[in-house]
Amino acid sequence: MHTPQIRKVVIVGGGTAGWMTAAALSHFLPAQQCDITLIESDAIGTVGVGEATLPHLRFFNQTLGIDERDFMRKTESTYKMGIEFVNWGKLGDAYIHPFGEYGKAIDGLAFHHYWLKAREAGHTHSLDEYSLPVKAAKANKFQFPSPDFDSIMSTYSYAYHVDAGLYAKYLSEFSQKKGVKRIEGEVEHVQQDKQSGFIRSLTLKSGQLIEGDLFIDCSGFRGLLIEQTLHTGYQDWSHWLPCNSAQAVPCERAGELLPYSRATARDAGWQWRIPLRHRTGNGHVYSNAFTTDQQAQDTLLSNLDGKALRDPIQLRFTTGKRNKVWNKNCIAVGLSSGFLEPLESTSIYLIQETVSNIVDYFPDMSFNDTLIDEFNRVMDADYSRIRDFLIMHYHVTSRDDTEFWNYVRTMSVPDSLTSKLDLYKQQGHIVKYNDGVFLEPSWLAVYAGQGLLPKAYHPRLRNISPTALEARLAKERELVMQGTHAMATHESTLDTFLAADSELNNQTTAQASLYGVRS
Amino acid sequence: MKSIAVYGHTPSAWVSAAFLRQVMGVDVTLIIPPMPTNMLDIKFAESFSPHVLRLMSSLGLQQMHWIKSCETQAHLGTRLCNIHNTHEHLQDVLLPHCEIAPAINSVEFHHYLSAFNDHDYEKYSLACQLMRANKFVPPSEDNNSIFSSYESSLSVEVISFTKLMVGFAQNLGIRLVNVDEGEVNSEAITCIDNKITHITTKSGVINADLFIDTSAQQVLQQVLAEYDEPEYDEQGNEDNLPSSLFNASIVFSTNNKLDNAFYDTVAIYQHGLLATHRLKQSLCYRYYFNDKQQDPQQAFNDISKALNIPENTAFRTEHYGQHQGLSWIGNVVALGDAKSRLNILGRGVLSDTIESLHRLIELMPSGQTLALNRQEYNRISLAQDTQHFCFLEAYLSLNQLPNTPFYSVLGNTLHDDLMHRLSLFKASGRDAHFEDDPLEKYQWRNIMIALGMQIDNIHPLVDVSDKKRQGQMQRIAELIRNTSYH
Repeated sequence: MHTPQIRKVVIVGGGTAGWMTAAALSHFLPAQQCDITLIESDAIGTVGVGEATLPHLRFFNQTLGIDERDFMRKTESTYKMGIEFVNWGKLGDAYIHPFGEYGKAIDGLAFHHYWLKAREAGHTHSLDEYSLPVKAAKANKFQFPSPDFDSIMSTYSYAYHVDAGLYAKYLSEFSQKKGVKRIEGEVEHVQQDKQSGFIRSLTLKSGQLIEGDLFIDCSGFRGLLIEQTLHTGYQDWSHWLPCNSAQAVPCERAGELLPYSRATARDAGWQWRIPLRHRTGNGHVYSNAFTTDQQAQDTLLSNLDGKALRDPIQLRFTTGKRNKVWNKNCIAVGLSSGFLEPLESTSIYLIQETVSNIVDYFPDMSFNDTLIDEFNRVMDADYSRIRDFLIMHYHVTSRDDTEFWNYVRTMSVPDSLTSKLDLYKQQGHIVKYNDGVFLEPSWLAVYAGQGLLPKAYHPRLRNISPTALEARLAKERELVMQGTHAMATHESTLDTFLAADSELNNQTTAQASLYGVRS
Repeated sequence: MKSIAVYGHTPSAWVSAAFLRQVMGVDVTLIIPPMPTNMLDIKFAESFSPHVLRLMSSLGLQQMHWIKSCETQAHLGTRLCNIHNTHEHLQDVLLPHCEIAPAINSVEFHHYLSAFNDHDYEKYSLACQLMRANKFVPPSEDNNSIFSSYESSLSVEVISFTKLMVGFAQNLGIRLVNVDEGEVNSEAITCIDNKITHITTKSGVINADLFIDTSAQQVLQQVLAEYDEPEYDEQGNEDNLPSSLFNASIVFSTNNKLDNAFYDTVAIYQHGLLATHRLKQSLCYRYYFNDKQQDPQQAFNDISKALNIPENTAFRTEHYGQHQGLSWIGNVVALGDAKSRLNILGRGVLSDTIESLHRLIELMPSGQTLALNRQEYNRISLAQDTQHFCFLEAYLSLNQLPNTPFYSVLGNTLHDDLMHRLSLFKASGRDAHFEDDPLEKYQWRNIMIALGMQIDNIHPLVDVSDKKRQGQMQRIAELIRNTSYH
C-alpha cells in the first residue's frame, strides 16, 4: 500500500533554521519528487544568536557534501574546542567544558573516580590536566583530531564559531542550486482545511497564493504557523530558567583568536563572547525581573574586547517549548519550536536535530499519527535533557552575591535533574543516556568546574595501590601534555587551512557526537 | 561496603561471587545449597554476545583464559525455525548480529526491501551468506573491509565455564559455606529495617552488607518482599513489570558430529521454545516451557521424538523465579535464576547475570547511598527487562503460533512499548526510541524484517521507480555473492 507522497514543502522564514531545513531537504528529497519553496522577507530580521556551534554541525555539513574549507572561508568561521565558563561556581572561577573526555576509563570504571581517589590522598592536579581539549584550548592551540583511535589526538572533537547570517546565506546559495525556490515576501493569511485544520495554503502580502502539503515553520519566536495558526500551546520553563531577555552586539576583533567561546556569569544572567575572524560576537542574556534593560546594556557594552560595531539589538523570549513540535501538517524548526538560551550553543544543534528528524520521519500524505507522536516524543526528550543540563549550570553554584543567583541556587529543579544530582553528589555516578547530546563527560565538566565534587569515589577503588594510581595518572597527564605540545596555534592552523594553496587536509570523518573517539 | 554474600549453587552464583571479589576487592562469602544430583552430568550452553564479551573483559575476565577449555564455538547469528508458519519465507530465517545492509541515502535498508517487495533479505547480508554456507570468517578490525560489517558471538559450554569460575573464585579467597536444603529459611535470616543483617547457618553466622540471591526460589528476596516499605510504593511502576511466559526448562545434549553451523537455533513447538547451541563437540538443547501447562517428562518425550533423540537421553529440569518484583530489594539483589527469563532469543541467564553485575558494580553503594543506588539500579533494570521481554514477545506475536493454551496467553495483551514499536514500524518502518533499551536498533529491525512484517508506508525518500536505487541494491547483493570467504 503506498499513500500519495508529499509533493510540495513550504518553508516559512529564512535565517539559519529555514536554510538548514531547505539545504537538508533539497539534498535528500529527489528534485523530481518534491518542490521546496522558502518564503522570507528582508523586512523581517533574523535573530542569529546561534553563532557558536557543537561538533554535530560538522556532521551536518559533511552529510550535505559541503567542503569544510569553502564553508569556513565564506562564513568567517574559527574552530571551537569547548566553552569557557567564568564566575559560575563562584566569583573568580573559570573552567572549560571541552568537546572531549577527561582521562581514559580504566577496567570499565570512569576516570574521574581514580582522580577523586587520588585527590583524597593529596593529589593536587586539576581534572583539566587530563583533558587534551582543555589544555590545548587554554594554550590557544588547535589541530584536527587524528583518525587513529589509538592516539590521544583522536580523543577530542571540534565545532565552529560561525557568523550565522553568513551561514544562512551560504546555505541559501547551496539550496537554491539544488532547486529550492526562494520567494521574497511576507505571509498575510493562512488558509486551513475546515475539517482537519491542516494548513492548505498561504497568501502573501503581494497577493500570491502558495499551496503546500507540508509546512515548515521557521518564523522565529512568533510561530506564525505552529502557534498563531494552529494554537499548539507552549510549555513555559522560565521558573527553572528565568532569563527572558538578551541584547546582542558585535564588536571589533581584538587580541588572539581563541579556540573556545566564553560565557561569563553576570549579576542577573551571563554574557557570551564568540570569536570570529572578522569580528567578535557578544550578547548578554538576563532576567529583567532582576535587572533593567539599561543596566544589562551597560554591562554588555562595558565588557567588550573592542569597539561596538552597531547598537545592541534587544530580544525577549520565554524559555520553553511548543507542546508539539509537529502539529498536523506543520513542523516547527528553530525558535518557533521552542527556546533554550544559548548557554551551551544548542540553538543550531536543535535546528539540526529537528531537521535530521524531519528527514528520518519524513511523512507521506497520510500524516500518520503514530509517526508524528514518535517524532514529538523524540524531540521532547531532546529538549528536556538539554533543559536539565542548562538548569544545572545555574543551580550548582555557591554564588549568593545577587538576588538572581540566590534564586537559581535555591529554586526547586525538575525531578529528573534532582535524581541525577543526588547520584553524583553521593558517589560520583553520572547517569547515562542512550541518546542525547550531553553525555557523561559534559556533566562531569560542569559539576567539577563549578566546584561540585562527590562525597565519595567508587567503592571498588578502596584497595587500589596509591603508587600504582599515581603512576597511572602521571602517564595520562604526560600524554595530554605531549598532545598539547604537538599542536600548532589556533590562528596558524586557520591560516594554513584557509590559505589559497593550502595542502593541509582534515582526515577525520565527522560524527554526530560531542566527543572524540578512544579505543 | 565491606562484605557481600552470594546465595546459590548455579553458574550465576559462582560468576557473581568471583566477579564481585575480583572487581570490588571486598570479602565475599558464597552460600551453597545442595546441587541437583545430575547438575554436572548434562552439558549445557549459552551464547555470549559481543556486548557481553566486552563486559566480561571490563570485569577482568579475558577470553584467552577460558576460550579453549569451554568447547567454545563462534557464531554469527540466530536461526529461527518457525515450523508452524504457513508462509514459506517465514519458516526458516537468520538473524545476524549486525544490520542487514547499510542505509542508502540516509534511509534504512529495510525500507528498500519493503519498497521492492523483496523478502529474500539474506542475500544482502554477508553474515547470513556465511551462515548459510556453514562458513566462519572472524570479523575484521579494518573498517574498510567488508568483513568488518558483522560481529560474532561465542557459544560456551557452561559447566566447563563454571568449573573455571570455581577455580577462579577459590584462588580469589572467597569463603565457601555449604548449607543443607532448606537450611536458609526465614527463621535463619535476620532482618532489621528491611535489610538482611545476617544469616545463621550450621557453619556459623554470615554477616554481609549486601546479599545476592541467585536461587530460583528467591530464598533471600522472599523474606524482604514481605516488607511494605513506602520507598517501593514511590517507584510507582512495579505493576508494569512484565512476567515471563516460561518458568521452567529442560536441558539435554547430544554429540555434535555432523553439524558445523555457525548459528544458534530457536524453534517454536506446541508448548514452548527450543533453543539449540552448537559447541565444538556437542549440541546443547534447552526447551523453555511453563510447568503448569506441561509436565517436564512429557515435554522431553515430545521434544526428543521431534528431534529423533533416544528417549533414554539424560535431561535435567530447571525452574526460574516468576515473582517479578524489583530486582533489588533492601540490601538483596536478585540475579541469575532468581530473575524471570524475559528473553531467551540469544540471551542466556549468564549473559543476563553479567550485564546485571556490571550495572550493580557501577552502582555499588558506599556509605549512606544505598537507597539512591538501588532506585537507579531498579529503574534501569526495569527498563531493560521490559525491552528484553518485548523482544521475545515480538518474536512470538509476529509468528503464527500453535493453537495451544500456552500461546493463547499472549492474546491481545502485548506490552504498551511493543504495541507502539510494532505500530510505528508497520505504519512507517521507523524505529521507536526507548531510553535504556539494551537492544541494538538492528536487532529490533532484523526480527521484524525476518518475520515478514510489512511496512504500510515506506519512507517517502525511497522512490520505487528509481532505477539507480534498484541498481544499488543489486550491486550490494552482487558484492555479497562474489565475496570470497573460503
